[in-house]
Amino acid sequence: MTAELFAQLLVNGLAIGLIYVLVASGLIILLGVVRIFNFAHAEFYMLGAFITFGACEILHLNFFFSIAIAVVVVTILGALSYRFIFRSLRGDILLCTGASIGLSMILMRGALLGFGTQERGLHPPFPGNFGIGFVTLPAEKVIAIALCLAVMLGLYFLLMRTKIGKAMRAVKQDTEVAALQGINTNKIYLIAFASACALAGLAGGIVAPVFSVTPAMGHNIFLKCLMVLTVGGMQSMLGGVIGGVVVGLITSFGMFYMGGLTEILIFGIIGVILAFKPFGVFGVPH
Amino acid sequence: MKKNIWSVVVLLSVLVIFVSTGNSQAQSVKMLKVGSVLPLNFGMGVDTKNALEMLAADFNAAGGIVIKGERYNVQLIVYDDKWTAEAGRAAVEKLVYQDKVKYLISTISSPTIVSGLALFEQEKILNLFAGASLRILDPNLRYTFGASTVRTSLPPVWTAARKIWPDAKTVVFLAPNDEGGKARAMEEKQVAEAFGVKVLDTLYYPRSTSDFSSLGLKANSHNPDLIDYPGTDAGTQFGLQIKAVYAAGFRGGQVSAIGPKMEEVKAVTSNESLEGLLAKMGDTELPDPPPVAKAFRERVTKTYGKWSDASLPWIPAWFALIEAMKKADSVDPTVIADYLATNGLEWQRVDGKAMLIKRPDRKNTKYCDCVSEAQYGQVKNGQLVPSTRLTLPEVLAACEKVFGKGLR
Repeated sequence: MTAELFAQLLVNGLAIGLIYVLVASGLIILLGVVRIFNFAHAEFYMLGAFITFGACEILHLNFFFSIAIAVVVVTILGALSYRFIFRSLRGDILLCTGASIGLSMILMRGALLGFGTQERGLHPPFPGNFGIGFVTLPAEKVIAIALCLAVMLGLYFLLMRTKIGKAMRAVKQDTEVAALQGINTNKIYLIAFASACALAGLAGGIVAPVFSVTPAMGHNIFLKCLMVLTVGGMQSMLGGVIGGVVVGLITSFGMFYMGGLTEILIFGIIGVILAFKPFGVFGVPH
Repeated sequence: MKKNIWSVVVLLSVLVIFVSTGNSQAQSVKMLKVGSVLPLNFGMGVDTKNALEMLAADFNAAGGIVIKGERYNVQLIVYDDKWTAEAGRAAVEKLVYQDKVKYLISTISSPTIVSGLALFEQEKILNLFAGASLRILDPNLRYTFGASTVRTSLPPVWTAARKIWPDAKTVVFLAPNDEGGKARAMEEKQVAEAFGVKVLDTLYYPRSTSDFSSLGLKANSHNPDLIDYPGTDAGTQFGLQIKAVYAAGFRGGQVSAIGPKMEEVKAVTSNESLEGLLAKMGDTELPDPPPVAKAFRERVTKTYGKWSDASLPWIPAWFALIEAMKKADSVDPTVIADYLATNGLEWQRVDGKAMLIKRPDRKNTKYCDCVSEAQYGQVKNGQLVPSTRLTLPEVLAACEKVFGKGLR
């Protein structure tokens, strides 16, 4: 393998891996703060992609502006779904899981009815390649990586440096103590849920011009995100980042060497990790 | 009273004359029941149903067909098989036993036809099949014929590819990792090698793949002269593959045996990446289409409000059936089947002429399969423009190069 080929596979793996990180981060926030496993999470990713597609291709808006619209709309939808579905069910794992599966089906079937089964493609907003030294890299992948990294930094800043972030972490650590300290836990749940949906919508928007947009696109990424959480640990943000990058790189290099058998490779590696670290690399026993 | 009786007699006489005239008119046009089983859960199935219904309606409106002095119209009955053997077999049985059809045309799904092959022989149903299964070439089958070019479409593609890239020596395939993709890749390997092009690798991918980056890099790492996409979807996924291959640095020739959905393909990849792509092109897509193709396109657009060429590969069986009845001068499926097997058939389709051929390579020396004129295009500046047209003799020669002599 040449250095150029290695670099290209690396960039491809990082690009897709960081998309996994964005979606998985949302799931980690949901699990850690709101304590809900939202099966509809990937449908917000799909909605983000469709809204970006619609804003770009139908309204002919700027790509970045389209992503911003997608994030706003998905955030509002996320907040509404928390307020009207999950808020009253929170605390009952079975009911929340059932409701999230129902919401997932409604969103996906709604997308099927509204947009049909046809795959759609967004005209590449960044055609061409970047030449960095001896390596030529697709511009859209490099921009996707840059966007994801910027969002991850923003998320880190939000969680570590802002009052809301501190409140989220406090609620994650101990809800009752956080409430006793004057934190409005219901508001934090709502913000955390909406933020998680925003991350999924953003990932969908970033990925829209790179791949295709279909009502079923959430299904595939959801499975990959479960792998990410299994590798990194269910409630560890650092684990999510490492897990996402690892799964992305395995997918990229695996497709090169093993083609359609890559999933077997991923499951094999996950099996090995779980044998030694049953709660994931950065997970802690509950 | 007497006057009243006479009035009644006159009235009844008029009535009898009227009814008997009506009967004789009804008897003068007989109805031929023609069945088709299509996957209506796919766009191409719906488009094919629409096209067949339109053709049947036009055929009846034009007076139908006269065989041995009898005038016949067609009653078309279409059922959905959802591309499954179970639903397909049920639909076939319903057509044969309940609807009493004697002709089955344009069925696309191989599972449906394979599950019904014995039934067609037993019940003497003329089956002009549109799908890809090689099982229909079994020499023991008397009533089944291939009426589409899916089994014979690859040699002409490679003839066209050879004309454009005479120095090409190597090719890499990208194909779906399922039965259809694998079968298509294996067939295409045989054809490419018959044309002196070595297949360096076949890269299989899951049907749901949207990230082809690594496969594109892998394909390009072989440094092939050509890349080919056997069994691929014609739309967005095809575009994503081309995009990945181009991003990986591949600048050689690209071949596709199917006509791409250019609108969908261009939505995901650049014109530069498509430049030079050789692909099947329907006559209806030509800038100046032949009259038959032009009329069909206008008729479909007028009837259904929009144009789609998705039915074109599957509807030739309709034209074959009508031509076969004329040539055999019979509506008896056995007479028609024996005529076809012995004499073959040449007929006009929407996109060019077609003819039945023998397949001695499959140990079948009766006419059983089909070839047609073939039009190919190459992408120039994002548009598929006509590049190569192969006549029936040229297509036959291409097929004989792969399947051996004796096809005529």
